[in-house]
Amino acid sequence: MFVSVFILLFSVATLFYWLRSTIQTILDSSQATAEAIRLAEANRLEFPMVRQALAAADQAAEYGRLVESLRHDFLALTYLLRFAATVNVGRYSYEEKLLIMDFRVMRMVYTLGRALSPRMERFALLEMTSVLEHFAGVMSRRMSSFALDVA
Amino acid sequence: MHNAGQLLLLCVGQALAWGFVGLALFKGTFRRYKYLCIYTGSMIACDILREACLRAYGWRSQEYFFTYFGLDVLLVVLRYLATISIFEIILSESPFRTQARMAFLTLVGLVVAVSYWFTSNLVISRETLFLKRLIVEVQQNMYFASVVLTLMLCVTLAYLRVKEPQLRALVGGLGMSAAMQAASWAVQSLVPKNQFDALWSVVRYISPVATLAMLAIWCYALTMLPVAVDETETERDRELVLVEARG
Repeated sequence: MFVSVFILLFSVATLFYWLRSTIQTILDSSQATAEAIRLAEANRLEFPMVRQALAAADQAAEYGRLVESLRHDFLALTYLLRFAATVNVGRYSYEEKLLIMDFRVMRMVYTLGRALSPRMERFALLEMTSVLEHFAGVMSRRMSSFALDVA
Repeated sequence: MHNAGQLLLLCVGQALAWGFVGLALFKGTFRRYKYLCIYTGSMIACDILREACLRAYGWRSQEYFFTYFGLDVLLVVLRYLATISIFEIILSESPFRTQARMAFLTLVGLVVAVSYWFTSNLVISRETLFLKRLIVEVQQNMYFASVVLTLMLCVTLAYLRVKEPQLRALVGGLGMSAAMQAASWAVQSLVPKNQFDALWSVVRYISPVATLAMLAIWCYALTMLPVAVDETETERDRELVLVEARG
């Protein structure tokens, strides 16, 4: 009985851990940083500046403005992912759905962090920036191959 | 016989398993992930054998019962081998290979021994001395051992700072499926007999869904993720483009 309860709790905890680990692996393997920043420049997205701001200073007072910028970028990029240069118009891939879920969870972590700890806020903001960077990289690659196909 | 949901899971599972082996051959990683391919191939063979046994002897026969659980034990043993093979890949270039291998094998032995001890205690207590309960406990403990082994693998990956997204995703898939299956067997073990039937309609799907999730992550890893990432280059790229953008 106790062994089963222990195994159940331990397994559920590791399941969440593996889910996080998979998301982290996807974000770490994103090699399109340069393309992502170019796309951000072209579309006036602010996530590269947010990353810089987070790296430069540790001013928790600024975080409210940064998270708003990230939210706008998220709306713009998810719109592009659904409707620009894609065959599956209006739909996300499984990978995108997983990362969108991660972005939303990180927004909740950020909200919690505001009450609990600035380090938690910063961590959530960094992960949200990484998700947007990944989306921008995907969009950039997709647009390049679309342009090649059209040409 | 299978209902539509089970049949769908079976077909998708077979397609993903064939897909993984095919991708490994196509991408030239078959030798590197040899034991993962053997494990996946065995899953295909076991599904075919179970299906044949089900058709020959029927759902409630002893033959099907023993074939089903016997093959499950075989698959878990192959899963242990696959886990150890990943450990070998991680340590292939490490100077501490021999010591780490010894430590890992000792821990494998310890986990299996503890798992066996839990099961043998169950047989001794007379209240639970019947076969189905025993099998549920054995399965639960075996999958739990697999969860612990995969976590050990993850600790090794973190300790040696291995930057191989493909390998990390493969380990992640293995860990996620083991955790889901161990949890499902633990739930089966905890639920009283009179409430079991109501729960069974949900619990019976956990194991196939866990296998599907694992195979989907593995196929994704081979198709989309690079074997290694050069972090310094990524960082340099980011800085160059930012400078360019500012200029």
